[in-house]
Amino acid sequence: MSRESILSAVRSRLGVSTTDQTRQQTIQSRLTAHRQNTRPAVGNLAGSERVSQFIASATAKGAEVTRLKNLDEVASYLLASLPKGSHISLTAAASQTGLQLPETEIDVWTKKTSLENCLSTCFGAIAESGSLVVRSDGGNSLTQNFLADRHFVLLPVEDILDSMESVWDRVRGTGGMPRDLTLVSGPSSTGDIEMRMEKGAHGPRELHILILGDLVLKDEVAES
Amino acid sequence: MEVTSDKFIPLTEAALQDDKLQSALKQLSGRLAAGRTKGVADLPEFDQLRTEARDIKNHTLQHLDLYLEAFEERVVEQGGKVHWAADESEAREIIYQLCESVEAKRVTKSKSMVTEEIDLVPYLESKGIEAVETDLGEYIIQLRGEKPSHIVAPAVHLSKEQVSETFFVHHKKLGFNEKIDDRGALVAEARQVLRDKFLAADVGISGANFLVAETGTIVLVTNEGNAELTTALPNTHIVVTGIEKVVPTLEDASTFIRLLARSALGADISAYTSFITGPKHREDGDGPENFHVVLIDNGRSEMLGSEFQEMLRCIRCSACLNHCPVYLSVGGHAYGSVYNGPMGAVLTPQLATLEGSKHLANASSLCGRCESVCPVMIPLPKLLRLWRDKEAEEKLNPMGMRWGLKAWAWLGRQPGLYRLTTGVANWVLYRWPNRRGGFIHKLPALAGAWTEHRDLRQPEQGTFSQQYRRNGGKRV
Repeated sequence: MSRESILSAVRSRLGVSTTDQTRQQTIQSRLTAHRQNTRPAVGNLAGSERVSQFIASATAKGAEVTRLKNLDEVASYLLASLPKGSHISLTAAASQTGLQLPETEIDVWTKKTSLENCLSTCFGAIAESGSLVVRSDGGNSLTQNFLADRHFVLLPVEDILDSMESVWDRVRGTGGMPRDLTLVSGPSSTGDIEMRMEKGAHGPRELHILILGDLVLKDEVAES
Repeated sequence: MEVTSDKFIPLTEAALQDDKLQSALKQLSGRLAAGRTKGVADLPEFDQLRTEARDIKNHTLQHLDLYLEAFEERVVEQGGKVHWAADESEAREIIYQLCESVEAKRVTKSKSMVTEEIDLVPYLESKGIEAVETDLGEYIIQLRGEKPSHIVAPAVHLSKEQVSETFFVHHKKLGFNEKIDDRGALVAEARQVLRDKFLAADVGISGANFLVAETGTIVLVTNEGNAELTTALPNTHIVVTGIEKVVPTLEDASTFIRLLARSALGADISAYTSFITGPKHREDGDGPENFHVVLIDNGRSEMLGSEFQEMLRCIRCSACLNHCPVYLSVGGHAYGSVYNGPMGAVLTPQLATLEGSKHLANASSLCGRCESVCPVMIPLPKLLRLWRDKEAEEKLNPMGMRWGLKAWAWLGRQPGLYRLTTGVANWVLYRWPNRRGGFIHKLPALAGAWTEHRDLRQPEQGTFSQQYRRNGGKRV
């Protein structure tokens, strides 16, 4: 294998040697300091401004964003959004929230993946870009996040973070990176035919973000 | 890398006559360049982010060996494996062997310029493995047996009627008997066909927009979600990427994510930005058991420490293509290389040969728009000039041009003779008979090469020096 030859070519082109300890120290401190680069002002909002920015940005990307007070309202929202007799799969995390759906009106799957509708939870969201942060762990799965036509996501209002940087801080504080952490910013789309955007290329055609929590946000909650 | 850049001149002539291509290119410049202008205006910190992005890349390239080792260490800790390929044939062989080791029959692939660079798909197919492109644009051109004409929008040269015809021909055997011409319906049909491919694949191959040394993470950016399905569903995930893609930390990757989609099309972020770290972890609901990263050199290490090092900062956003008057006139295929536009004109001679691609650096007015929109501030016009210098040094330009320039340089050093020659030329051209509205339409001999394609402005009476003397050195 060419590992050594590539690395030594890199070193010789740069004119450096493996014995140079200062270079090693430079990169070690760079890798551990997690220094932030410029964070745009729009990634620095708190409180209700942050929530408004998230809603505006996610909506502009084609997501349906709704604020709901409690799980009963979530149930009503789902029933109103889905055609009668359709089915929805709940990820393990979503079914553990205690959400009750009337199974007379809707087929609820907790063991298998539906290609039509899925309800999952998420790790949080980013106000700056209107993105949800979904992960392959925590009782959700990749196939559930990406295969359904309609993806419904529960988002507690206090999990709306200001920027990617705050997501990384939270990830580092909770055991590190999963196999897959994806920032989902609107439904799947493609501009590959004549540069016109069409929804639903491969991932969900519809993205419904259900923000849960007090409509009037306390500032101390938002500071978290 | 298959390069046909030696045919650049006849290909540009054909491209300029191609009405379908011309209307597609008009769409491209209207949408992408205008989108970028708006996206950048929405972010006051944009220029500061560009400066930082340039500095992050410079720092990383200066410590590239160490960051690659750190990245590898993290991948291995997670249970993944890193493979190093010096050139494209080694890369293809490594990837094929990895497919063989899991007895793969079917492979899905998300969009990756590096896999285009190493001609991976034809190679896997020659070994009897079905390899399907899953990015819609890439899928369309795969069916048509074409190469991408743009690094972000690979099928931008095609109209929806051409896509419709292609689907009609290739999807008939799958039971799609109707010809459709609605864009949404075409997208839906591709979704249906490719969904089955995703679910049946043994191996998923992706590129990487960035590698994060801190965590051993690869970052993938798409709007379609095809990279997510490619990397999540099969049991083996192979990442194929260049050694220059590494950045130090997640914070650094964040800066590039803020720049990438904005530079490409003006959006603040793409629909899906995935951070993938190792194979399936114990806590994960699903994901592949095997995770491989193939790091490819293929001429990149040679650029380090050279005058072309700055080109290694490129993040393949396509802003330079979308703003280049030459690319927007002739499209991507004329360049005869998977990398086209200004970035391709700099990269192709490096990855292939200068002799075979010498026209590319000359196909530029050096207007500088590419440099002004580059998110990592690559001085593309300067690098194009460097290739022109090398072309002259290696005597690859035509002999007539070399001697002509030498003669001109000699003449410029003889002021008396220079004045006499230009005075005569001025006298003749001022009185030239074949002219209309201040323009000369036809000249004989060598000068005919100019008037064959454009008019020459008729000069004023007298050269600059003559007029200066006539006016006694005063302004008119």
